[in-house]
Amino acid sequence: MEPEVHRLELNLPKQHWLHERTQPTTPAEWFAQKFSDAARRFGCPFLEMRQTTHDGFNKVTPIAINTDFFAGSLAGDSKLGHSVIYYEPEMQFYYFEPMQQIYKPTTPEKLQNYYRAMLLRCAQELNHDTDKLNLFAEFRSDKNARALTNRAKSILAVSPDFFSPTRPHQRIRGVELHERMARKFVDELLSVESGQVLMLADAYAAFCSLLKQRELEPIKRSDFKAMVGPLIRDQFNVALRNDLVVDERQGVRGWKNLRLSQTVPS
Amino acid sequence: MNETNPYLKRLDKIEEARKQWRESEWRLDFLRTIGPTPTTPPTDEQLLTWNQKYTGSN
Repeated sequence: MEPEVHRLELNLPKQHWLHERTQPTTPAEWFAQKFSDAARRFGCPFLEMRQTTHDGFNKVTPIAINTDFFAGSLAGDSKLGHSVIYYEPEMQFYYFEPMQQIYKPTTPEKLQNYYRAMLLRCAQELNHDTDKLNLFAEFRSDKNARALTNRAKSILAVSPDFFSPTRPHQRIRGVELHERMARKFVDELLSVESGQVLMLADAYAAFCSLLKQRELEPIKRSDFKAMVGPLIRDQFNVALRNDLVVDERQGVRGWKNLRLSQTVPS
Repeated sequence: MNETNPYLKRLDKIEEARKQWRESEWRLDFLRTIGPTPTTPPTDEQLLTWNQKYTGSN
């Protein structure tokens, strides 16, 4: 009786795969067909083991994942008008809405959900010659998914001027950007200092200059107060007051025992 | 694909574009934040323009 044969393979779709769509027979072929740009750039999606049994049957098991390929595949399918980028100045992923022609923020967790869904879809669409355990469990683990989005931060990183007015890329300039900036403002610019008073007017002026620096639209003072007030209360347990006394001026609005640092957050 | 009847040819193109659009939406939904209003399905013209722009199909 012939022995069972085990062979390690790096499978990619056959020669004419760009022109003639053949049915993929292994997980690596399936992903390389779906994300041909990433396959060209980063190579085979999986290291696969082909097991040929005594009776001539084949079984293919994906045994190791090419993290670079999958991080690159998160960039999206250009044939669908998709694009995902990592914008380092804000440490933020953005995806492109092709119908609206605008970039919107997304999160690493959402990208991880997408990656897991694609693995599951691959497992469901391939036939029984594929061992699906790793596709379903191991590769979809939180650990693997997190490693993927971490790698994607470097692979999908764009230049700091990606959204500058001279470039064609536009992003949504909604409240979420201001909110993110407000969190950064509270986290990195404010600190507790007994006896100090942070006046609302000073805080608002500092926040506006921060927005200007990041090329974000200015917001109204009332919006700033509504956004930052709860963040300060949560972080420092102080509320906005209307009865503070500063330099003999009565009824000043601000926060007690808070100090505004002059260092601009990176 | 019907090559002779322009009306049927257009219907084929719309059907193909719609199939691509459903695939696109399935993927994008993972990245979107659930909003107060769902995404409006595109008109036939929008679908054809979108499909032509990215897939290059005429």
